[in-house]
Amino acid sequence: MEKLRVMHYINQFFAGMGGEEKANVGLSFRKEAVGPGRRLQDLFDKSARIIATAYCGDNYFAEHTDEVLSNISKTIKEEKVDVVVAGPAFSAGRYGFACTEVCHSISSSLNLPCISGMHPENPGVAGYKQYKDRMVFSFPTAGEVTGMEDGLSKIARFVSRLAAHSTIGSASEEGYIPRGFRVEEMVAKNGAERGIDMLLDKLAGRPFSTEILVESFEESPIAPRLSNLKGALIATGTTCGIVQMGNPDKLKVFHNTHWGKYAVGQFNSMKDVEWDVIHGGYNTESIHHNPNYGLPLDALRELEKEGVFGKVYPYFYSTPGVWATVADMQVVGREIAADMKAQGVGGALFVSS
Amino acid sequence: MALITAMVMVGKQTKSGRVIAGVKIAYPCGNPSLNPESDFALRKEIVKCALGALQTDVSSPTEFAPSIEYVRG
Repeated sequence: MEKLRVMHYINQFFAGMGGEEKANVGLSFRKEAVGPGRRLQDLFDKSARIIATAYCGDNYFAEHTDEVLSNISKTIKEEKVDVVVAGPAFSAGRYGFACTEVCHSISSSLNLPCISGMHPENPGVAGYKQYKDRMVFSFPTAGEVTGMEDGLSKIARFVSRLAAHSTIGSASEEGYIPRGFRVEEMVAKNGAERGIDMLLDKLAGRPFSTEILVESFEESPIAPRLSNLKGALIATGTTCGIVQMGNPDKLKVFHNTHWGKYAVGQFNSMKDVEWDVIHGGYNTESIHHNPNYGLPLDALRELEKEGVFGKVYPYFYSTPGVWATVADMQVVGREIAADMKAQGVGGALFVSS
Repeated sequence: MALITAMVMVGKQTKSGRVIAGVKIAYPCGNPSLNPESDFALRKEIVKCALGALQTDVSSPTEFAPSIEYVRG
């Protein structure tokens, strides 16, 4: 078993500098284990050694993120670090955020495994799940510092597995917070058999584990009914990926993060002009051929002429909806809604593929 | 806001209030295998249904089905 060289990232509080009043201190390094790192070092036993501790004020990190990450990266390279451990941050939000950012930055730029620990509802976990870095593993801890021993033990146990070059298993096997990767594996029973087994267990009141966890989404309040359709400005939008030819806003085929708005005021049908269709999640051939399938402008124009509603808003909103994160799309949704509201839009039709 | 999608369940699970049943994932608002007049009539009904949904009070995710015969899902 090789002895892994570990850098430990902690905040100003765990470095013994003080609390909130020291949250603005800049980044420092010490070539030894500091604070909880000393206990972590004991728990590592022969598998690893903390050769450096990086510590930084939580506010300073948030306000100078790039600078801090750059300096940490530089030191990691100089000290030939093998693994980074950040935290545990428990429920401390800024600290959790810093741990997630350190792990994401170092794993993606230097290809090193990075381990953190925090409470599952720490805001840092949202970032961890969005980044979805294959080499970052965040372990669930208590919300309070009383969970220190447990948190450090989980981290140390995992570092030992890395040192032994063990094959790293799934989140449920190893105990880290799931990142959302779906990995193929061979199992004895096929899906139909496993599905029936699960159903029989459920009906009999026996415990069972779902293979696919269905995320639950926060509720947005449902808008009250539109009382004056005849006078309303109606806007349209699509997540089918229809964008201006040339995709000037560089919307993405997968993992899209923002939105665009394109002029249709001069058209009676989406077929009046050519559009690009940027979407990696479905066969876009039909919509390429007739974009009205994904943005029913021709039908809207006819209904506008018949006086069913006031007017078609002369732009449509577009954001390709495939593998985008919930968090990103919540921002997109809020921004689009704000834009519509500012334009006096009364009601909106969105089309999703 | 009214959401037109073939994936009505997903629309409702993600808590969209007014979900209009679209035709297929690849062509929510129409059907390329129909002749152009029928295809346009289908699209117009889907949009009319969506506009109707905007004028309807709903308290939880609700599906609206356009009143026209069409193959969906």
